[in-house]
Amino acid sequence: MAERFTTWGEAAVGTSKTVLNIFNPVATPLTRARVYDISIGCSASPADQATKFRFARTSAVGTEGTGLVPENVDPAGPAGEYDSGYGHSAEPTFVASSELLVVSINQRATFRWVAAPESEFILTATQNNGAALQSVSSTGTAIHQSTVLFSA
Amino acid sequence: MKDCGHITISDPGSDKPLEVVKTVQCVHCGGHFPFGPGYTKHRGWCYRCNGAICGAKCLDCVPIEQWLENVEKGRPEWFTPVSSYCGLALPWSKHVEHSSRDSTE
Repeated sequence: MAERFTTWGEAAVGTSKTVLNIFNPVATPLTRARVYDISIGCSASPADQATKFRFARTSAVGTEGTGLVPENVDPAGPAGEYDSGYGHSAEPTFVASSELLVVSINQRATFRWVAAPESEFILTATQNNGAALQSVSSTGTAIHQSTVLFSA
Repeated sequence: MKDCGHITISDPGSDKPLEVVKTVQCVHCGGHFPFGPGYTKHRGWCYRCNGAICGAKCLDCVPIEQWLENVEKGRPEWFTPVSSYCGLALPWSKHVEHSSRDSTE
């Protein structure tokens, strides 16, 4: 049975700023991640700024500032293959035209997307491939946070 | 149409979600898009997969499972095996360059 994991990331939004990247660092991966829950919020003081986000496939990890091993939701469960990171100094490589979800939200709003069973975003079982949440453009620079849940 | 997910947008000044909208999954790229009143962007339908597609970028029929397998096996992303009259799976498609298709033939 697939294990469920959670991870998070944050970034000051702007043009092409990755908030969170999830990827599989294993040379010969055995599992595909299935992303089923994405939430986005902002910890800064409420202000009327708008940001366009995309959750899209990636084929290279870039240079992350902070690495975060996704936490198994079951404390007794095993570690998974997938890894995550945020605070990128070099953006991950995004696969062209691979947007899985695109949304524009106000800084005051909290956004959550949840997949129905068997309708998750499936990530390829290929080394360093995965998916990332990125701010495409923004009228502000506030730090936004995101939490992503997936099974693998 | 099958309900594949939900988007909820909430605001600190409101005692209930500002918006709850269902999403539909593209049978080709696997992405989700909001669907319902007020969402007027043109989408599409694949009669081969019998499912919704997210737009012009997904017009070519490469089901998501095929696409994932293509990437994992290092094939061209838009590779699709084609069946012949005798039922054999032939290793080319219209998405593969003619030169490689000719050499396979």
